[in-house]
Parts: sequence; C-alpha cells; structure tokens
Amino acid sequence: MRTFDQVVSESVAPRRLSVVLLGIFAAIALVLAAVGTYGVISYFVIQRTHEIGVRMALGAQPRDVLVLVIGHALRLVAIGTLVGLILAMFSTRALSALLYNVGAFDLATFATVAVVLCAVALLASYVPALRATRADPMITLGHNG
Amino acid sequence: MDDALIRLRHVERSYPLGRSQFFYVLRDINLDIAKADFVSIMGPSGAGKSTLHLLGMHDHGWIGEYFLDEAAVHHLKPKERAALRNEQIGFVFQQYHLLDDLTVYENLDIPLSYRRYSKSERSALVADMLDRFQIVGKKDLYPRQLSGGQQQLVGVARAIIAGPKLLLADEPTGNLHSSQGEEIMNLFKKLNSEGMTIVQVTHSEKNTTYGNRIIQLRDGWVVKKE
Repeated sequence: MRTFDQVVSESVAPRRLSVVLLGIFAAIALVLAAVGTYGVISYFVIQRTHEIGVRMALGAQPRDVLVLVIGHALRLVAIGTLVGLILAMFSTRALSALLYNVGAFDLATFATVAVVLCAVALLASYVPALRATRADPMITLGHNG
Repeated sequence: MDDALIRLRHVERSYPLGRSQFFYVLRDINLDIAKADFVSIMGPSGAGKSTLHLLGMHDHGWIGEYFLDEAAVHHLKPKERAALRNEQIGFVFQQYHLLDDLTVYENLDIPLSYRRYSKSERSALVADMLDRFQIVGKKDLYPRQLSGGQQQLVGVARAIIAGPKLLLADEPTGNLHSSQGEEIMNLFKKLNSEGMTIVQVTHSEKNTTYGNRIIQLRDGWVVKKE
C-alpha cells in the first residue's frame, strides 16, 4: 500500500529530475559566464597595463582606473545581455509547451536574469579592475633601478 | 636657498639584494633646485631615473626629507603626494608614452581629464596648446601617424598643459634624430626662459648645455654639482 503523497511524488519524479538538471545546468552556465567575464576583463587589463600606468603617471587616481575598467566591462555586459535577451526571446518559443503558469515572454523572468547576469559580470570584473589600480607607473615608465 | 623649489636632505634610495644587503642607487643626497632652474642629472643608468621617480613621487621607497616648494613631501600620504604631483609636476618620457588609440587632441586632454577643469576649459586649454606648439593641423592624427620629433612635441605639450611648476624629463631626446632633438631642447630652453623649472636626466653632454646646472651621480653619490 502506498500513500497519496508517494503516488504524487512518483508521478512527478521524471519532471523533478528534469527541473533539477535544468537548475544545475543553469548554475553551471552562470559560473561559466562569471569565469568568462573574469577572463575577458583580466585580458583587457593585461593588454592595457601600459595605458593604465601612463594614465596613472598623468594624474589618474585608482578610482579613475576602476571606472575605466568596470566601464569597459559594463559595455561588454550590456551588449552581451542585449544579444542574449534577443536570442532568448526566440528560443523560449521552443520551450513554450513545457512552461506552466509562465508565458514565453515573461518580463519578470527576463529582467531578473538580465540583472543577475549583470551583477555576476560586475563582480567578476571587479577583481581585475582592482588589480589594475595597483599598476606601478615606475614599471610602466621603464624604471631599471 | 630661499627661492628653492626643491630641497632634498639626506635622501637615500636602496633596493634589497639579499639578507641585510642593499644596493644603493641614491646615497645621502642633499640638493637644492631653485625656481626657474634648468638642471641636468647625469650618471650611470638607473641613478638619474631613480631621482626622477623620487622627485615625481612615483616612488615611495626612499628615506630622507624632500620639500617641494613649501610642501614636506616626506610627511605626505600617497594620496596627498598624488594630488601635489598633479598640481605641480609634468613629465616628459624618453618613449613619449602617448596613448596609441587616442588622437593628438585626446592625448593632450588626458591630464586635464584627471584635474578639476570643466569641459569648456579643457577644450580651450587643448586648443591653446595646439596653437602654441603649432600642431593644430595634427590634432586628429594618431601617434603612429607622427614622426618621433612630433610625438615628443605632443609629449611636451601634454606635460605642461595643466600648468605645472616643475617639468621632469627622462632622456627627452633619447629616441630622436639630432635635428629633432635640438628642436625639443630649444623648446625646453624656451619654456625655462618663461619660468618653468626643468630637471632632465640625460647621457648627452650636448643636452646639458641647454641647462644651467649639471649634477653628476656615481654609485649613488652626488660627485659633482655645477
């Protein structure tokens, strides 16, 4: 004999598995997005170490360097988010049959995803930006002891 | 010296070589540089540059006393030093260090963008400088489109655009042909005659003739002051 709860639980088990798997993949995608952003912004900082050093020698404060690096990250994130949202609008049509109580173009979902991704990207760019503020003009300007 | 812009007292700069061993690039430096002086620092590679980094407040690892005008630099925190540097010092580099992705106009605007100038003041100052250095026609060009001499001309214009009292130059003609070098040194002489204090590091005997004092460094010591 099985309880009613057990019957319900067994009946939704395959779907629960799908949802858990989707959640795990979404979390992995978020981590990948953060790692990717971190990598891109780190590369940007390395490429522009000379420029950042020169700017600091000419008067830029650490705050100005943070604005420069995070500003660049924000531009990239804005473009990425926009492209992602447009692609998502098309791809959600394919998933519309699987959705329950949520429309294919649910504004709240789209906005939440965009905000979360922007926040993750900002956090991921903060570390390289902070590293850039420690650029040593003495090295940039060719000090040799 | 009452009209001294720079006073160094017992200044030393060393780098650790190992356990309790140090390599001294500057030892017990006592030096006065007057306002509107044009000083050439000569010496082995590294010594002069270390002096410039010290005077330019990019290096904080020295000991001793450094007075710039009335300010006791040795008592200032890094942030206060940066503010003083922005207000009083301009830099000219051997490698020009113009930013490749920016036009001549934008390169000249960089130092102003980090100081308290309005957008209209910045435009006016850049226009003045382009006019003064006769490079109006090149304002939209990128550094790679300029000759070495023209790039250094922009470098000098950028160094003085925010109205510093002190100009520090690191081998300013080191990468230039002799005629371009002469042009830059004549420009330095003109700026000096207008009241700008200039300290240049150079290995060129000829360049020292444009200044009025020579300071010779050896093994970190000042061995000769003229």
